[in-house]
Amino acid sequence: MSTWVSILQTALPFLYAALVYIFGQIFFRPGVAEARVRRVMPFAVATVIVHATYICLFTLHNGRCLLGSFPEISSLIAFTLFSIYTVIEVRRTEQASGTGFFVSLIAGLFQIFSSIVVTGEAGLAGMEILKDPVFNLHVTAAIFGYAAWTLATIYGGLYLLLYKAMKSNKYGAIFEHLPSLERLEKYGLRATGVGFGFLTLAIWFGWRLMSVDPELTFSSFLFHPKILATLLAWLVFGVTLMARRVIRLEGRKLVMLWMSGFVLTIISMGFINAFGMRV
Amino acid sequence: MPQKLVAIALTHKTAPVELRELVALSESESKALLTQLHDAVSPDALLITTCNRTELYVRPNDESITTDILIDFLLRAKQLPPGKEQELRQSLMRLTHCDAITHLFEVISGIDSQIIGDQQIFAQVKDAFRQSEEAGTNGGFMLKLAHAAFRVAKRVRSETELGIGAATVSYAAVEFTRKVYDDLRDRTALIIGAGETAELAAKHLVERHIGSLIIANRTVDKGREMLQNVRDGQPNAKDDAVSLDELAAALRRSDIVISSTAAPGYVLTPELVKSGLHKRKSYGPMILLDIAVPRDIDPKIGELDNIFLKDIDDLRAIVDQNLERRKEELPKVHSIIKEELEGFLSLQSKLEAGPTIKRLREKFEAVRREELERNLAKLTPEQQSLVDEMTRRMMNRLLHTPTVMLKEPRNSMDDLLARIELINALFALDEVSDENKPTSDH
Repeated sequence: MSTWVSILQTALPFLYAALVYIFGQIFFRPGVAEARVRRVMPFAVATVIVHATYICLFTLHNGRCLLGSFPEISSLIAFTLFSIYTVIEVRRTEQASGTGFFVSLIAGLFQIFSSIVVTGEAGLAGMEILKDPVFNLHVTAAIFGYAAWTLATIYGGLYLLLYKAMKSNKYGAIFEHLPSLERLEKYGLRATGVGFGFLTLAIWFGWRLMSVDPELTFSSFLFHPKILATLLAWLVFGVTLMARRVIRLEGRKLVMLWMSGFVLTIISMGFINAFGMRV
Repeated sequence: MPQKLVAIALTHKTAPVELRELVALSESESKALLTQLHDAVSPDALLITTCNRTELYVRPNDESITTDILIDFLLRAKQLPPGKEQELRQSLMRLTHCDAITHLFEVISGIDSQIIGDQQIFAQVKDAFRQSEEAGTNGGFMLKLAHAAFRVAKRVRSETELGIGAATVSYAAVEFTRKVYDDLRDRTALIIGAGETAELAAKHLVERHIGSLIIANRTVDKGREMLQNVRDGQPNAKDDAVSLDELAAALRRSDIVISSTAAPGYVLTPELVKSGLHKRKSYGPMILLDIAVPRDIDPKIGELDNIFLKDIDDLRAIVDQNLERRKEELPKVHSIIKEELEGFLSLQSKLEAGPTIKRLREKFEAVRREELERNLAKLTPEQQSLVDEMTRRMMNRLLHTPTVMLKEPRNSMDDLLARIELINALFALDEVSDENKPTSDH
């Protein structure tokens, strides 16, 4: 089995590199993107399947998921990012945004980093928690959630770029190649929704995981810096979804709202990691 | 003997519209001219006639047919006012073979159009080839030329950005709305003014399947009349015509506003738009297109969030930038045309030289057989076989150079024809074919 894990670990960066090339051809070359995205669809799905197979084989072989180190998690981020993109967008190719280039590029970079660095069990002795199914579900759901928000941020960033270009009468490549503001907003919202759902699950599994500790109280759980930061981000994304539904907030303000959630997440996680605050 | 393609062309580059319209042919006139050409000149003829050009391509049966004769045919097809014939003759471009093929490729790719990269011309040239087929003037040569021309157009479309972006102000407005909204079917457009320009803008939106239209005009009845016109007498249930006093209410329901009135001052002020925005169904983006001169919409409105205000100069900027980008694509287009021209000429060289090469080999083979038969009796069977093989190899080696020379792609048809003529003369091939021709007695 370890041979197959190694083969797939080596093959994945090449698959992502091929996707970056193909999506790049679609995005930067003239013509209607939808028809060409449709042709890439089988390859994108195949990459997702190969990556899922790699994660399954790795889990079976090592008795734990790809959560032992940042390079391992990078592969999971690449997988979640690209699989969510595939589900959200490529599923309906007639409305594809043609932004697969950016997503596959980011996913590809994470996977290349992971494939180069991941070696196996080094430094994981004694980390029994990695074999706890609830912990695995908690972290996997969290990674899916954050990956979906990363995707939403990519859409949001592209939205703001196009918005600025249109406001300032710059009708170059950005204006020409990006899809409409409406479509970017729609897919960004969809990614936000997916991220919100997964993070809700991650919080629930996190609470289950910590509730086994008899000394843990609800307030000590809630006010832990990492939990607090996660809850804040979760709240911002929840507000984004509510604002769209209840007060029909649309356009730049809505995009700024969900992007602020992502920025908040990055800053708070960076701050917490820098000061070594661990749960 | 193959003949050169000859062409005459009157285009927007060579003649003003007053002259071009004199030789603009209707479909029936085109068919009549092609039929005449078929009967008198060639089974290979193509006539392209649009508002910007009248072009005639013919591959005649014999070399006596020149561009001047084609001009005679074209001018006879129309009743010309006195004194205009000479002017037309002077304005017509005369093209021969490679230049004619290159010109056709330039036309179909859109680089010879008034608006560079015009997509309409492809359909017009395709239609011309269809007419040629119907008139029976799409002989072998024209058919191959059609395939090559379509390949050029396809490559230019897929390999360059020549056709990308709007090239007219009205289309730029539509393109702009498409960059904000994916689908106009559930959107509402407010048209301020009921003049000609406003009506044209409304028609463009209807063509893009706009959900509902509100016409705001000083006279509501005129607005209603315009609504009937643009919707072909069948307005949607949500369509409406309102007076200018009801603008604020109309703004609340609108996603796109196009203003084209003759009002001397601003029709839409920031206060009016802000009050409309506050009560809108959604806080999504709103497009305001001001195509009036003097402007109808206060430019300060453009500073508001989620508002895209564009005036006629902004839209023209889209067009200018697109045209500039199209011009940057010209070297790529020329290179595609050059490649396809070489491919076409190479194929033609092979096809045209084919009969000559065949006759040349037949002549050599006949001489070889004659000499062999004369001497075979003096040789043993082994020697016969050896000599047969040796003479065949000699013949093949001797014919290799002239065959390659004939098959090589030529940049000029004159060159190919000269070589064919030279081979014919050197080896008296015409006599061979004449000898082989069946006589009427048989």
